[in-house]
Formats: sequence, structure tokens, C-alpha cells
Amino acid sequence: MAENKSKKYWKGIEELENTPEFRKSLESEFPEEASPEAFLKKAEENGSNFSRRSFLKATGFTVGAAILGACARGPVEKAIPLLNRAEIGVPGKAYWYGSTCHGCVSGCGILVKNRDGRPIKIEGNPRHPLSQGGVCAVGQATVLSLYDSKRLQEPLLNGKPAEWKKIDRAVNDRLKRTNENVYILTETITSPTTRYLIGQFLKRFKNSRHIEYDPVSCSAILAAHKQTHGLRALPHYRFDRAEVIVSFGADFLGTWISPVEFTKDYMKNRNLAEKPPRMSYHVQIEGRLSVTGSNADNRITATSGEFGVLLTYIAEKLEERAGAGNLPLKADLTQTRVAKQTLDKIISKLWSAKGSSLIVCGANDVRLQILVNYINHLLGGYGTTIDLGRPSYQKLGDENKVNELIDKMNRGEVSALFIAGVNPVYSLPNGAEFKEALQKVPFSVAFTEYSDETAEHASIVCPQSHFLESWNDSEPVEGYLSITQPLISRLGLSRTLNECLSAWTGNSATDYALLQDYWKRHVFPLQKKHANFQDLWDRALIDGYVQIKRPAKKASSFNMNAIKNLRLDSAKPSGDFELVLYQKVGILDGRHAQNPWLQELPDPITKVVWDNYVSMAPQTAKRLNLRQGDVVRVSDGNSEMELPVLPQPGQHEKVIAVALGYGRNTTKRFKDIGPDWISKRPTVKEGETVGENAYRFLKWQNGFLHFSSRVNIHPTEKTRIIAQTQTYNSITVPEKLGGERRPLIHETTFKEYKKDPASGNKYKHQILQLWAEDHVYTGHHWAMVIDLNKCTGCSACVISCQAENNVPVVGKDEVYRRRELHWIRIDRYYSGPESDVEVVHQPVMCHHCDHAPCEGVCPVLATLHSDEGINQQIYNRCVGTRYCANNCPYKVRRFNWFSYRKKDEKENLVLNPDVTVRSRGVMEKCSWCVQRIQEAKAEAKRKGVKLADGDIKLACEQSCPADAIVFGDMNDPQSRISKLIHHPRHYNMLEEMNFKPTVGYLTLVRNKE
Amino acid sequence: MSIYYSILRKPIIAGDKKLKDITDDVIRPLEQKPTLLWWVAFLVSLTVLLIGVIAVTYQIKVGIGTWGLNKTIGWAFDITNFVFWIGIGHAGTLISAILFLFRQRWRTSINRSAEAMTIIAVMCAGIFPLIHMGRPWLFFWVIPYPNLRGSLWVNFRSPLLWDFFAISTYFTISLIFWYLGLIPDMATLRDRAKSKIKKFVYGLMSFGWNGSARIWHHYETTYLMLAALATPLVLSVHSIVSMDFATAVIPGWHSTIFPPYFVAGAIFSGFSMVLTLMIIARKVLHYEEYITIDHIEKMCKIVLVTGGIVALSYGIEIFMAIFFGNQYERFMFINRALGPYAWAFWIMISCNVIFPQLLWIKKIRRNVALVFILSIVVNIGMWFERFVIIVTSLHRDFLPSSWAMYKPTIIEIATLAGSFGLFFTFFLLFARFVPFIAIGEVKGVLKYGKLKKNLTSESSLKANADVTV
Repeated sequence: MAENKSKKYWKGIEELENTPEFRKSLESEFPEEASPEAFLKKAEENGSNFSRRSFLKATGFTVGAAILGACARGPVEKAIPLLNRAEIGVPGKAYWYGSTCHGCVSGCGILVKNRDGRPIKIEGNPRHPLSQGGVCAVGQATVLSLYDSKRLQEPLLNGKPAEWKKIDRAVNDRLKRTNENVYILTETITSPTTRYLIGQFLKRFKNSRHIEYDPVSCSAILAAHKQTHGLRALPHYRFDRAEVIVSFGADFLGTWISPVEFTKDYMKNRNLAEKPPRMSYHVQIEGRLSVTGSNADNRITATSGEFGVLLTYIAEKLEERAGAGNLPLKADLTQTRVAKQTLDKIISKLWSAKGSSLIVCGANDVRLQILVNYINHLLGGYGTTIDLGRPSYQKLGDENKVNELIDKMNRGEVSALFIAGVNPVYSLPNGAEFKEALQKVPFSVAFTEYSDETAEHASIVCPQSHFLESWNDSEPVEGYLSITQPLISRLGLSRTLNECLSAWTGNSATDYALLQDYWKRHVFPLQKKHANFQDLWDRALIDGYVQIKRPAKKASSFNMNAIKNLRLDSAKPSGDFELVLYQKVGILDGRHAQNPWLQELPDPITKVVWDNYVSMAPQTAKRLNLRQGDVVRVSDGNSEMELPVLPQPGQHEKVIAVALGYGRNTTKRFKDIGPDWISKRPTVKEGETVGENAYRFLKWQNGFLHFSSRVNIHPTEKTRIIAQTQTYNSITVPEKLGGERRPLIHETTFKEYKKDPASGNKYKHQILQLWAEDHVYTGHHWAMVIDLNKCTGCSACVISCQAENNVPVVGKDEVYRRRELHWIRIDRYYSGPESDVEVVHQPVMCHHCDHAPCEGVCPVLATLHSDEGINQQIYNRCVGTRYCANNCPYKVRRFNWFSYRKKDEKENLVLNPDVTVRSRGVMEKCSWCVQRIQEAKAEAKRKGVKLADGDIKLACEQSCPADAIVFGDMNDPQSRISKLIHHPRHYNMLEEMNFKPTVGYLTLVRNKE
Repeated sequence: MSIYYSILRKPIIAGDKKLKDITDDVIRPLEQKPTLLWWVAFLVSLTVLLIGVIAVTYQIKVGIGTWGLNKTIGWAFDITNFVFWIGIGHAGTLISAILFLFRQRWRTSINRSAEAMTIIAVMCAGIFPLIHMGRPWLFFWVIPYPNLRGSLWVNFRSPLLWDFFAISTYFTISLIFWYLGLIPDMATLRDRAKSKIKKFVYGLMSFGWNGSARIWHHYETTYLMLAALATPLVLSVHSIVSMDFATAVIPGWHSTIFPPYFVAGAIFSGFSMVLTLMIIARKVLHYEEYITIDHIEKMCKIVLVTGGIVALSYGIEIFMAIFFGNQYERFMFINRALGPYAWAFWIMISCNVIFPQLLWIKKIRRNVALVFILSIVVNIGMWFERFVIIVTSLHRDFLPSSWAMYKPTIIEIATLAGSFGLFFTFFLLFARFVPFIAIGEVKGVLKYGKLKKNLTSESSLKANADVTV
């Protein structure tokens, strides 16, 4: 230890040496004495005069300054924001913006509901002069596509994700090297701004063209007008002026050109409320049963091969009456099954309604369209029911140009091809040819929202913004210019076509700037109402549209040469059957095939979901020994497809019909849709698509794509499940079980109705009330009336309800098991013989019975009656005994068999925050959009005014293009609903059971003998 | 109490049993090691039960969607099985309570096992209302208990709530009644037990029974009172179950005839099940002398009578449908008989109406094998009756647009099988651990202690003696 004590550890050489310098530095580093005196002494030694006084002074100053500084007002943190309303608006409050739907080319005016910065619901814009407040199922469903996480998120350069800068550089580099043969292939461009920008873009290149092409084309109508009126234009059909309508296979209430507008207009002439009541006479001549046909007063089945004869006969007879003699053709009525008397009756109806009659034809055959034009000309339709002066711009495509383009591509005459909004590889019958030709084009750019069949083969893929995230405009009919405004900032790295074009023209600008710039320069001068541009712009944003006046088109008078040179085919057709290719109201041409709402939308006629199929007349199926679900092979010599059979009453026995728009690559994703459990059948199998692509069967004829062709069918051993939401189709019970008609539909004829408005509605019961005074509705008593005469079955209400009320999609297998969850359904019944059925569409939702059978049986009081007559379902109280659903006579209750929660959280953004998302094991059903009722009531209360009739519009009611649904307070004697309830046409389903439903119907009136 | 004995009646218990013979015979299976047959039966039952447990677990985990139900048909196998088992559960209490009050002494041979069957069947039945809920974990919301959810209460107008009360009451009373009858036998077991543990357990279960006259007197009084209490329940349970349907508006359900119709049907099926079980038990456990051909014949007669009531009810329902001219009601019956579920209807008719008519023939009533087959036929028929009532009424009701078909899934079939697994597992355990026949009561129907004076004189009478108190 002692040794250790003496031992000295040193930390450095300096310490060991212990020189005086080191000691000094050590002292100044670590002063041994820290007393103030020593400090001061040392300071004095160093020559400083920092005295005690100085120290006190310094201290005093510092403290004083600190105190003074602390006296200042602290920074204000604003804990109460929104003294001025933020851009987004009040959180939780919905804002509505006028815009234009780009779900198809119809360009309907819409109002978009924006809630907390998210667009969640689309409604029709009631101010819009074309769509007049209606919006179809497709338009409603586009909001779901916005939140689709499988939308392209970023541009692709040779199949690899790239930045926009890179893309721009690649395109610009390429275009610098090219100065000719640049082509743009698009669908019909209804936007004048886009059209202008395309023009600007192409101006630089020699020998460059913009080609418009519609997968489902009306080009024959345009071409026919070129021949008859010297103007390649699609006329604006005015169904509101047509008293007699004869449609040859044109599904104008379902899918043809602009169905929402046409439905609105069509209903104006079927107004029984007017005095005297008015009802147009509608004849539908078609091979398959379309939505329009199901609403016709007189439906005649004929193959489209017979259209020529029928049209010729009509033209011939009308010529006789008009005293003209230009028609070189003679109708040979032996070629058709349609009786001469039937046609004569139609002809006299047409003639007597001269000037207010309209013939339309859905066939894409220019000769037929020339005949149609001639008939309309003879009937004085031009200028009244047909507006050629302000034509429609909804379908301008010319598919023949695409064929020419393919040739050019094959010859290497196309140096760059830009494809926007179309998918020719999929939608051309010779799509494979297009694909091959595309691979020969050195530079191709596809603008698309999804990686589709065509974009897969393009060098550059540019993701397109959804229309709810972009600025644009649309002029569906000349003079009606509507605006598209974004409701949300872009969810991916997408751009609009306008932006891309401008970036590649050299003056890169936002779509907003581009639109405003165009409007300033080209739209503003076309109107006189607004003196300065800002006024015009603001008005457009508020109304969603402006009216402009363009220089009048010069349509020449009818050119008789077109008729004089007309020849029709008389060649005997080959093939056993005529295949009619058509569009379904939900799927249309296939552009929304990836949208599960639309896939699960029951077809208005067949009630099938998630598939296309071969529909054929039941007697044909019987003859061929085919049953529903048996797979047949359809072949036309070149193409083949295998699809299940669906017997379809009312179809011509020589016609089979297959829907277009199926077999899209984008539908492969649905293999996982629906609940997962041991006995689940996938909606589509791994790698398969929903349905089959029927575009292969479109027929090229003289440069037009025909929707009908001759085919043979061969049975196969296979069967496939067809999922339908309704499997028993007749209003009468099966013949062997009594064959009685169920008195659920009350109907009459227009003739009877004029004599007695209560005709057809005599089925009234003496209802006794035991405790009438027990439940008195002192405040509101809500009620709904559905006009069976107006409902066309278009199913817009179904999707509207689905969007509003967060109704989940369940997948094909669940629908097959009859477990779809739609709160509103449209029951479709047939009556009459199978070959010539009459159809009725009856929307059914919860009837909110005042004596509700469901309410008494719930053990836990999860369903109750409100004091306003609403049958309420309390989800969080429900234990799921399903007794209420069993006891519901209308079978409108829907059960959550599984947890339908979405795996994809982005898609949940579409949910309406006002409506609870239901969990597994609880019952749900139509709530009459109680959230809307509450909102309207709260708003009226806030304003201190009485709730006015029409303040509350339910989702189904609001979207209905036919205005078939009316909702209101029956305690208010002045309301529309009160008047309708006391109308002689009003009845309740199962009235005799005394459930006292508050949903009623107005009788169906058919304008027939 | 008059005492007489009839020379015309055969004794209830054959084989001239002594009191000790009875104790020995009944307790023998309990004191022996289980037989191979028992093990096989038990393991099979347990396996089937486990399959059911797996099915139910899966269904609760994934959802009711694993059943074949849909928007039109909200109940099918679940409630069919429920009503079926509740119906089975009717015979036991009927035998022990109503037949007791009517002094049908032959009931003593079968009442213990029939009551055990009742309790197990009600347990099987009780599972279905529970698992048929969309959210079974919230089943307690059906119970009116004071809660913190404001004034949230149950709906006393709902037949499902009445069901809850009816079934829980019935189960409780049946269980107490059964256990009460078991106490003297437990004491017997206790007294015969050799191991200390057995002695202790049986001692606990016999509540210190000492066999004194006073205890017997208390016992008999309580038994009589409980029998009186249980009697209305026999009728009420199935009446209330029938109201699940009768109060509904659906054609085929909405019918005032349902309560008596359902009660008769329940007794019909319950007795058939008792027959099925007894015919097996008397063979396997060698109880032919206790459960005699006479017993079987008597039960057959009850089956015949209740079957007749059921047939009459079918007829009246059809008559009402035609007579009142309600088109929905009329269609419903035509659809049942000729529609897509006609096969189920005709199974029901043939099993419940046609085949039971064979029981009019005495030879068949006394043919054990045939009665066994018929008892199973009736049970199949009664299961189908509930299926027909539930599914064929729902599947095509008012609006043709909603008409649908129902097909059970594998999960539902496994659940139905599982309920049988549960039933037989418990019944086999019962046969193993509890005296199958009420020893005390059977001894009571012997002549011992009743006719001492005459015993010595005429031995020929002995064989034919029957005593009725």
C-alpha cells in the first residue's frame, strides 16, 4: 500500500516534466481558488477593470432587460380556426359542385357531392337543359372508379414506371425527329377544348390526322345524313316533340346515344297528369328484348334482317300518302313475319301524327339509315322531332378510318400514334390485326385510366386523370357547353389529355389554364349574355353549363338522289341465327368493366349480374334442348366464343343476343371479390375475365361495323352458373300450381284510363282499423309513390342507392345464392305468351309499413317505427335473428351474411360518412335515406322555415331519369305526395293484408287497344 | 286409497322380480366396466359431436353466410332442428308428469330415461336459437336484465322472446323434476358404492337421503307438486314455439291452429324417439323384463293417437286454405304439394300420416323390429314437417320476384349431425353413470307391501297381479 501511495500516475509528458509553463496553463485552466476576490485580483493582474460595481451594473442591466423583454405580449396561437371559412368548407358539411359526367359520351350535367374534400356522390344537375336532372347508373358509379387503387398511378415508359419529365422528354425528342404521319386515335371528343388542343398539336406535322372511333358506333346515321342532307352529322333527336315513335332496334331509353336525356324527353309526352292526359304511342321493332322494348306500347319482334323490308314498306306507303314517288324499292312482305295490318296501323298512326312522329333505327347500316331519313323527311320530322341545325356531338366516330389507319400502320406510314380513350385491340372485330399493326408503329402513346388491352402494346402509357379530378368541358349537343371541374386533387401521378397535348405542343400549362384560355378566346365570343369573361366563367361553374350560339350548320334540303340510288341486299343470309350484339345499361361498351358496382347491377331485363350470355327465345332453347346455363359455342366462321344460354321471353326465335363490353382484361381482378369461405365459387377463375368479348362478332360491311351477324351455335358439354337477382319472372304463378295472377301490378290501357282514371285499380279492400287513434302522426308522415308508367327499369336508382348508402358488392356466387345487398330492386315481370311478352318494371324497396310485420317480431327492438312513419333499423342493436326478414311480405330486408369489409382501404374513401357501414350479422334495408331527411330538417330548423315539399330528395328519387319516384310528407295536404296518394291511380301492394305500407304505386297504363 | 289387484292385467314388470333383483339389474351396468359396444357408440357419437363443434365454430367465425340461407329464406336447417329437438324434448315430461297425474304406472319403466332424453334434447334445441343469430356473442340482449343502456329493454311482443322464457322455464323444471326422481336412486348407489370417492360423490348427490318414511313422504309430495307444475309446461313450450310461426304474416305460418297442432306433433315425435331409444336400450342393457312388449304397445298407441291429431291438423290446414279463398294461402299449399319442395312434403305425409297407420294392427305394435323402424320413420317425418313448414312457406311467399330455393351447405349438415352427436354422447354418458330405470319407482309398482295377506294363498294370481293406487 505504501508503495502504491508513493506511486504517481501521470497523464501526459507535460505533467511528468511539470514545467513552469505547464503549471501556469494548468492554473488558468483549473483555478485552484474560485473566490471572487481571487478572480478580481487575477483580473486586475491581467489589466482588466471589471470591478464589483461593473459586475453589479452588468447584472442590473441584464435582469432589467430580461424583465422588460418579458413584458412584451406573447405570440398568439389561434386555437379557434375557421373564423373565415377555409377553402374546403365546413368539415362534415356536404358541398355540391356542378360538373359534367364523362362516364360515356352523352355528357350529362351532374352535381357532385363533396364531403370533407372527397367527392362521394353524383347526382343529376336539374338545371342542365339536356339531362334535366337525371343521371344513369354508369354516371353514378363513376365515383367508385375514382378511388380505384388499380387505376394507373404513374406513366409507363416501355412498360416501366417513369416520371412525367422523362415521358415529356421522350415524346418531345421523338416528335422533333418526326415531322409527318402523326396520328391521334380517340373516341368521340365532345370537349371543344380538347378538340382545339388536338388541332394545335397536329398542326406541326405534315400528313397528320385525328381519327375518332366509337366502339359502338352510329357512323351510319352520320353517313346517311351526309348523303341525304349533305352534312355528316348526328341529329339531335327530340323525343319531347314526338307523339308517335317507331324505333327499329334503337335502345334509346337504355343505351342509345343519350339515354338520360331521351328518357326525360320521352316521359314528357307520356304525362297522364296533364289535362287532357297525353300519351305518346311507341312502337319498338326489335329482335331481342331491350329496355326500350320493354316500355313500348307495341312491341314487334323482327330480326334486323327484316328491318329493310319493313322500312321499305313504311316508306312506300308514306310515299303513297304524301304523293311522292322516289323510292326505287318494292317491299316484299313475304320476307317478314310482321303482319301487313300491323304495319298499316303503324303507318296511319305515323301519318296522322305528321310533324310529331319520329323513326329511329339502331342498326349501323347506311342504307337503312337513308331509308329512315327519308321516312322522317316524309313525316316532316326534320326541324321538329329531328334537329339537324344543332346536331349532337355525342357520336362522331368513323370506324372505317380505323381500318385505313391499320393499313397505314402496316405500311409503315405512321410514325407516331397517340391513342386516347379507346381500346381498339379489344373493341375491334379485327383487334388482333390492330395489335400487330401497332407493333409496327415505331412510337405509340396510349392515354388510359387502366392498363388495357391496347395500352399493353404502346411504348408509352400516360395515366389519365379521372374526370372528377380534372378540368374540362363538353359539348354533347351543339350550343350546350358544360364544364367539368375537379372535386379532389389527383390521387395518382396522372395527367389529362389536354395537359399532355399542351406539354408536347411546347407551351406546358395546367388543364385549368388551358380550359380558361380556350373559353376566353373561343367560347366567350359565342355568347352575348355575359359582358365579361369572369361572369361567364362564374356562371358556368355555378350552373355547370352555358349556352352558346355557333354559326348555323348548313344542312341542305333532302337530296332525293340518295333515295333514288338506294339498293338493299336481298342475299339469303347464311347461318342459323342472327346474332345481335348490344350494350347493357351498366357495362355499356366495356369501358367500366372494372367497376364492381356496375358488374353487380342486375340487367334490367334479364336480372343477370357478372356475366354475359347467349339469350335466346325459350322456344328455341327448348327446340335445341338447351337449358339455362348450358354453354354453347357461337361461331361465325372466323370467331368463336363459349357462353351460357339464357332463355329470354319476348325474343325472336331466330335471334340470339350477346352483350358487348365483357371479357375485359381489367376484370381479371375480380377473382378475389366477395366473401371468402369454404364453399365459395370465385366470381372469375384465376386468369379469366368476366364474360367473353363479343366484339369479335361485329361485322365489317362497306366500312361500317354492324351489330348483327349470322352465326351458328353448337352445344357443348359444359355448364356455367348464371347469377340472377330474380329467378321467377312471371306475375302469374306456375300453371301447374294454379296459374293465378298475383294482384301486385295494377294496369289498364290508355283508352280505359281516359274513360275512368281508376280503371285497372278497382281492387280495393275495406280495411278496418282496430286502434286507429293509437298511432297518430302529428308531425311529418313520410310516404313515397312510384309511377309504374314512368319507370323504364333503367336501374339508375339501384346504383344511386348503393353509392348513397354504402351498400357493399358481394360477388357473383353470393348473388347466385340470392344474397345481393341492394336496398332497392326493380322487379321485372312478364305477362302474356312467351313469344310476345308484356313487361313491367316495379321498383321495390322497404315499404315502411305503418303496421310493419318486421317490427313486432324482433326480440331486441332493433327495428322500430319512428314518429314520422319511418321503419328504422338500428344496426348496433341487431343480433341477427333474421325473423324480421322472414316476416317481411315484400322481402326487402338484406342480411350481412359475411363481413364485406374492403381489403383496399383506398376504396373506402367512397363511403358516405353519414351512413353507418354495417357489420357482419346484422340486418339492413332501405332507410329512406334518413340521413337526407335529417339534414333537410336540420337545415330548415336552422333557417327557421318550414320544410318545403321537395326539400328532401332521396337518392333513388333524385337520380331517376324518368321522375318515377316521388317522396314527401303526406300530412301536408299541399304536397305532391298527398295529391298522388289520393289519385285514382294510386294503390298499395298487398293492401288487403293491412300492413299499411307507405310506399304506393300508380297504375301502369299502356297505350294499346 | 283403495287397493285392489286385477287378475286380468299382466304385471307391469315381467320376470317375477324380487326387490333386490331390480336394484341389481338396474345398477349392474353402472358397476361394470363399460362394454366394447358402449365404447364404440360413445366414440362415434363424440366424433360426430366434434364435427358439429368444428362446423359451428367455423360458422361463428366466418358468418351465417356459411349456411345456405338467402334474402328470401332466413331460416331453414337452424330452426327446423330447433323445433325438431324441442319436439323430441316433449315426451319425457309428458311421461313423467302427465302420465304420473293420470296414474299410468307403466310409465315407471321409462320415465327416467325419457326425462333424460328430454333434458338432452332441450339442450340440443337450445343451441340452435343461439347459433342462428348473426351475432351470437350478443345473445344476452334477448334477456331482459337491468342494463346500462338507458331504458333499452327487450321486445315483449316478439315470439322469440317468449321462446326464450318458455324454453328456459321448461328446461329448468324438467331438470329439477328429473333430479328429484333421481335422489332415492342416488342414495341406493351411495349405499352400494365401494370406493370412498364414489360414496362421497353419490352421498352429495343424494342430499343425505336416509329412506325414512318421512323423507319418502316429502319426496312424494314434492314430486306430485312438480308434476302438476310441469304439466302445463308440456303444453306451453311447443305452443309458444309454434307462435314463432303463427304470429307471422307469411302464408303457411300465419295459422291459429298451430299451438295444438305443434303440441300433438311434439308428443308424436317425442314418443317415437322414446321408442327408438328404449328398443335399443332394452336389448343392449337386457331390460326386456322392465320395458316389456306391453310398454312398447302402449307407447305405440300414443303415437297412433297423436299421429292422428297431426294428420287431422294437416287436413284442416288444407281445408282452411281452400275454404277461405286467400290466394296466397291456397297457392302455398298447392306449392307445398306440387312445387319444387314436393318431395319434402310427400316424405312428411308418408312418414307422419301413412306409415303410422300400420300401428292400428296389434301384431305390428308388438313387433319390436317393425316398431323400431316405424319410430325412426316418424322422426324423419317430423323433421321434415318442420322443414316443410319453414322452408316451403318462405321460399315462395307474396312477391314472385323474391321466390328462391334453399339448399343446405356442408356446414349445416355437419351442424345437424353434430346435434345428434351431442344427443347420443350425453345419452350414453347418462346410461353409464345414472340408473337407467327409476329403481324406487319401479319397486313401487311391484306387488310388494301392497297385498301381503293374499300373497301366500294364491300363487297363480301372483303372476297376473297388477296394483293400482
